[in-house]
Amino acid sequence: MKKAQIQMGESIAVVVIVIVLIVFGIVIYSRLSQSGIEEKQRIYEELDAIELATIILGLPETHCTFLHSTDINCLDRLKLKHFAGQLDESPAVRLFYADLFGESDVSVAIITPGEETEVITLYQGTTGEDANPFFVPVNIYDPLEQRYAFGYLNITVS
Amino acid sequence: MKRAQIEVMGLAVIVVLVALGLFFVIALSLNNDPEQPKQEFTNSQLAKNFLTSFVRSDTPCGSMADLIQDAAVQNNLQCNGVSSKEYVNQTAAYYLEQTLDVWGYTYNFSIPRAGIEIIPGEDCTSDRDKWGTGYQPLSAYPYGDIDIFLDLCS
Repeated sequence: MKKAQIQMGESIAVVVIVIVLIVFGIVIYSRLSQSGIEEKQRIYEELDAIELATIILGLPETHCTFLHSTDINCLDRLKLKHFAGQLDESPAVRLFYADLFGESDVSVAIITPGEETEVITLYQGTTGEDANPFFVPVNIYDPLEQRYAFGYLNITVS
Repeated sequence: MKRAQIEVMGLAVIVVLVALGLFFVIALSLNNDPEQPKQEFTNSQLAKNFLTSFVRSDTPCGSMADLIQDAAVQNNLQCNGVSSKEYVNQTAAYYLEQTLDVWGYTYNFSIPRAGIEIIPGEDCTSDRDKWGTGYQPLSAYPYGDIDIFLDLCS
């Protein structure tokens, strides 16, 4: 092998190593970017869920009121059941609230010691399977018995 | 330029490329940190909402707040055949089991003045592991205040 051929081989080897390094860098960068994008998506879904939870807790259709004053962090059991029935039975009502709820599942669980947990499903509109649920502990007020139960709002946004 | 100098230049270029790659990796890794405060805020809200809802809930023997006050001061009341302290302990454990346990949280729940402490898993009192803290004061006038704590951790 001549000297020129050896030098050519060296040059080619250097170029190959540099290309491998660059490709390796691009692969790492793209993977990190992808995980960053997924993380951002998860954060935005979480923010959407927080926003929706805040809206539901302040929605006249669901929250507790006493003499026209709003009770914080409290949902009215009778209002919830009626609202859930309306959303389930009437397509027009469902369409009206579709903008508000978007692609989300919203339910309220009422926990009573010694009894099975009661779940009131308000809305089902998720499309993704990998959505993260967001929970907000709340009181559920029963106006007939005038009692506060312990429960939580479960929101899943996709 | 001599051949040796050219080779040194080539090596320098490779070192610069590797350094740039490392710089990007470190920069992207550090970018994830600013989201931590939001997570802490969300978890703190979860702990606070849990305590607020727990204290405000009703029991067959009156409000939970009344039972906590009795458990912390006199422990005279009976509810479902057990003392107020035992009832508060059982009910809190049940609510925690149905919520935070199911959602995958480790936690410490305590009402120090009533001698109630629920630590189902590893203790998470150290600041390093803490995800969020909830605190709910309750008046027991004229016997002072009762503090209720809920610490969430990873």
